[in-house]
Amino acid sequence: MTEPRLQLPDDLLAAEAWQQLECVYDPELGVNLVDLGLIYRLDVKDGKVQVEMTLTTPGCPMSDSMPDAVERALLTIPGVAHASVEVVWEPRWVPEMMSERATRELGWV
Amino acid sequence: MMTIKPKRSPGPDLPGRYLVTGLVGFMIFAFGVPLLAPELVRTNDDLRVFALTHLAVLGWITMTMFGALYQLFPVALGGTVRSPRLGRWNYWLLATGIAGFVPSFYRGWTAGVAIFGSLTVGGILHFAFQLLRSYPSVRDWHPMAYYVLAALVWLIATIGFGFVYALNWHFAWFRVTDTMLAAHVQMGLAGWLGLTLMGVSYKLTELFALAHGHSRALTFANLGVWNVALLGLTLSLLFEPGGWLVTGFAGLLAIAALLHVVDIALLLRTRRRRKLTVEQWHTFVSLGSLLAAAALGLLLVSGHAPGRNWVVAYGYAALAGWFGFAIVGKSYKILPFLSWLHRFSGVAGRQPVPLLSELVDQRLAWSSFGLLAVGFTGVLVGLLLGDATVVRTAGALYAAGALLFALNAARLVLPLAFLRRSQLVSQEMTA
Repeated sequence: MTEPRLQLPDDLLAAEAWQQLECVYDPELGVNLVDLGLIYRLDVKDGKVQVEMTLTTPGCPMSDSMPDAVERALLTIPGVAHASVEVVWEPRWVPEMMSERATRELGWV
Repeated sequence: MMTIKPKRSPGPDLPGRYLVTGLVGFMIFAFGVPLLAPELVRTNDDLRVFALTHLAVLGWITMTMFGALYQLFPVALGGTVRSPRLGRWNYWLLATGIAGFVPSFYRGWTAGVAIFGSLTVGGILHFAFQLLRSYPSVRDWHPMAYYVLAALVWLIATIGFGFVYALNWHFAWFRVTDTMLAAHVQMGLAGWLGLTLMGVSYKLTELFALAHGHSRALTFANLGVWNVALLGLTLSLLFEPGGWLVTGFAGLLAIAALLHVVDIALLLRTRRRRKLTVEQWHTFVSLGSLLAAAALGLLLVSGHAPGRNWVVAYGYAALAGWFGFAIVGKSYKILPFLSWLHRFSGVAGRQPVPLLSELVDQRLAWSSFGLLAVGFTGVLVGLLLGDATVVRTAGALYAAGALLFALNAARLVLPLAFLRRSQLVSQEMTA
């Protein structure tokens, strides 16, 4: 018998999901993916989370592992039944997409 | 349920075994320099010096580059390495070849040079073939892809010449002149090793320094000038030795080296990561050594070098300086990445995982850098002065720096060398 799934409103789940993604770090840069500006879109519908994300460059060595890490992080949230992550290259990531916190952490400002 | 998706990269053991062997080659080279100090300050025309040179070129630098390319080809260019299984078998062919070739050179055993040289040639050609037939799968035609492609062509040419010379040493078909040897050396240094290093440097600098918006015009211009200069230098060394063409093309190659240094400096100016890492300090010494090697090379071909020990100094500046510092520096990025990917990528997102920089002992890395830089400079000065005591003393410092680097690198790469990805990921997931 499967455990009954926790039912949470989608907007609450979305807020949880953003928060959870702030805990996923680029292991080279030491900055989380949200502050790096790599998460382009996050939608929640009936407990199913869809994420559109990018990477700093198409030849990023983490191109396999970062989307997996995002998917894994989303699935740890109680109430998330399914998570799918799509990597997109349009618009292409530019450093200006980083948050002020990220630029500060990288020593840019 | 989450599944681990099939990846384009071969398992960690494929690059890992080449990288571990390269590390062993580096150690033997580092300790070999002070031990062979009297021979090194006298002349380049000595079998033990030839053996040490081939150990550095094949056992250390080429092995490391093969490992790095097996790792970077899928992740940096988006290609799929064809037949990783053949690559694993090929490692044994190449490792056996080099392990026999270098001592045969050292002892002047011509039959050994021919036999083990053949194995080495087989292993290298197989690698070149392996990568060339993987090229149609490349998805990101970054400048690195073009640099490495050109490097593979030069690798085949270098090996072809070297093989003929090795066989000729045993069978004595014709007389090999100094300029014929110089052509082989230039193809290997500037063609295979140089172009590979430059291409990889462009990619890794962009990635790790978060450098964006750099124009690639100079990068491609440099690729063209470098290849034209090298082709001209090789042909003029072979067909018109001693002529003004040799000096002219060597000058053009030195200009291309300067272009590359300027290009990397411009690329670094666009970086978003301001703090300079230990890897970047290695890069600065590496690029300085490239310019030193280019200047020494020009003096040699124009007949202004005072002795044959300057030929050794030129080779040392290129091998230990330009390539050596670049390899050691980039290892502080490539090795932790390789280790992280196969130890932690399976659990990232679900539990806290370390950053790449936390996998490296930074204090050890900076200490190693200091010793290597002081030792390298001292050996170079000792070689130029022809002073064996200076070479021995500075060489010992360099060897100590190499040992510290090896301690840092070994704990990252040793577990990867003989395990497949599935084993490592499952280890971490059950931990």
